[in-house]
Amino acid sequence: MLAIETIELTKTYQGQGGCRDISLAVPRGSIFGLLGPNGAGKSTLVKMLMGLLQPTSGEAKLLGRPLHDFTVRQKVGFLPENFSYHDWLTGHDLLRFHASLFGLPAKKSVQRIPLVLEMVGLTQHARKRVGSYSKGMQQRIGLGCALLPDPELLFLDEPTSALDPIGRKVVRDLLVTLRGQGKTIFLNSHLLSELETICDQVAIIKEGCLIFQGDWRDITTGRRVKVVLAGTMPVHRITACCAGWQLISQQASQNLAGGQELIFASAEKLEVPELVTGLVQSGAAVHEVTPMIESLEKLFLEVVTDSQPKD
Amino acid sequence: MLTIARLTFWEGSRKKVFLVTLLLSTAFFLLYGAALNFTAQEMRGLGPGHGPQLMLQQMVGLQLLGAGLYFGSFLLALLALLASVGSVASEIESGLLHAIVSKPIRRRDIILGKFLGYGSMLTVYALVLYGGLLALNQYFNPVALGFLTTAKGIAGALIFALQPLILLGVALLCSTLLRTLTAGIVSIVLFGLGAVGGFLEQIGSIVNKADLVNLGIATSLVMPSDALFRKLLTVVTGSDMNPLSSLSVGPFGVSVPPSNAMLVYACLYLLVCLGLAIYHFERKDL
Repeated sequence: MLAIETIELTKTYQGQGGCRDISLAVPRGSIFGLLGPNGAGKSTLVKMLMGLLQPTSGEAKLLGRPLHDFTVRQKVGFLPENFSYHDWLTGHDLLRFHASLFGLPAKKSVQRIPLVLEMVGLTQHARKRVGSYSKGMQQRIGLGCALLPDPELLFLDEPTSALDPIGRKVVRDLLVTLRGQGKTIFLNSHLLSELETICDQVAIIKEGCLIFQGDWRDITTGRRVKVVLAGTMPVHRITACCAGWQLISQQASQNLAGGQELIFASAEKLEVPELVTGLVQSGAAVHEVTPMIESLEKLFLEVVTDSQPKD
Repeated sequence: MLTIARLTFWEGSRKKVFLVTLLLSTAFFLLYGAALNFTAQEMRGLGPGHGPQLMLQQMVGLQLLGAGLYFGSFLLALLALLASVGSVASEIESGLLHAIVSKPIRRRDIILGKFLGYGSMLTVYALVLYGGLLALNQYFNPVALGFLTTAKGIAGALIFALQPLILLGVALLCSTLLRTLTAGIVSIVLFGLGAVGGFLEQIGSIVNKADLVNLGIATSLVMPSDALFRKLLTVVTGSDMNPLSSLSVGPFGVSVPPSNAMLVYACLYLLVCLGLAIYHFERKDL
């Protein structure tokens, strides 16, 4: 079963803006990143999924249940982008209030609140007023609120925007741990390096339209491959046996004495085993093959710059 | 709903406007008590209450009671409007509601919870205010309460407490429809309109001008808060039984007592306001 499924989900304002025909499939137990330039419609999509905006058309399901079934939100945590909480409450009281909103029984609240405070590193500050918290601490208490029901699905809208590098690492590690527990995390962030580190799949939205969805490594992997040969081979023989691949650099290997390091590139996604087979059949002694993964940032810029959204 | 109500009650009683209103109420009680005391001394100087003296005592006593209830109602209105008018709009603007609406609760429970929270706070405050006003009058100005029975006292308390609930309903509706500042302005203008309508009706009745009376009644239908105040005065002063009640005509008196139908209308008005607030909030994009 999918954690999130949307079918042509659309939200427009007087026929303009918002996002259009978004069909997403987010598998369970994954970290899914949502990318897009400012104003692309990412927050609109997240808000629709969290019931803050009414869709203009289309359907969506969370954990297999339709969006209008609000009881599903007992298993869904949400950290809004513009987080704001009752600043006159203490951190502990705020969590107790949100636990009550989630409908957690008193006994479970008593168990979860200290646990969540520890997860977000605010145990020492639990009795201080939220208004006295720094921006980063407020974001962490917001994350704590989202984690209260031990959610199966967690929506995080820019969860590290107010955090320092150490706080970001704490959150990153926490998300990886949650994924390990089978939770699904839907992450909306501008920090591509962060998404690159932890996301299994991404979706890219541009001008309200979905232009890419899937494992971003699929389209970056296989385009460039580093091959180290034991011994050397003339360039003309290499190019002759590797149809479809362009040899973009060749030099002596720095790690293998007498070896030759080759970098191949392809405009299309080609199968690396075919490249290796071609080399072996032409007599090359293949010592090492490393698909070169390009950065998510590069992919993002390429996709966002090149693609034209559908009308 | 009860979670929201509890938090709203707690939050409302912590707001500065509540503290300011409490201070104003204390100052009001002190001033009002002093005024009643001085008047009582003057009245005692007039000698036994019969003949022209009785009429004067009734007239002054009823005006003082009316003035006390009027300013008490005004303080209630102030608290009801200022505390609640931003309760939805400002929380949408600040993003506070994003973390609440996304929880497994119905949107209507948020509105009803806020109404229950503010409503219970206002009711407690109204009952304290009402009890204090009657106690002061009973001590210094008993002549004005000569026709007040226990049943009428309870009915008066219910009407007194209903006044801020009407304004709370209006403020919540405006808060779901408009931005905080606009909602505040509209709510206060509507409250003012009700007061002006009430005065027009009184004046129309005194000068026997039907158009003015009708205009006042029409205004009461748009905002029944002032009509409720007139009904409250009728009940507390027992104007239906008091032969001297006509002496109380004036800004703090009643020349045309509103009927019981107005009470029913006010309750329906409140329900419609709440219903519309829920209807708009359930469809609102946050």
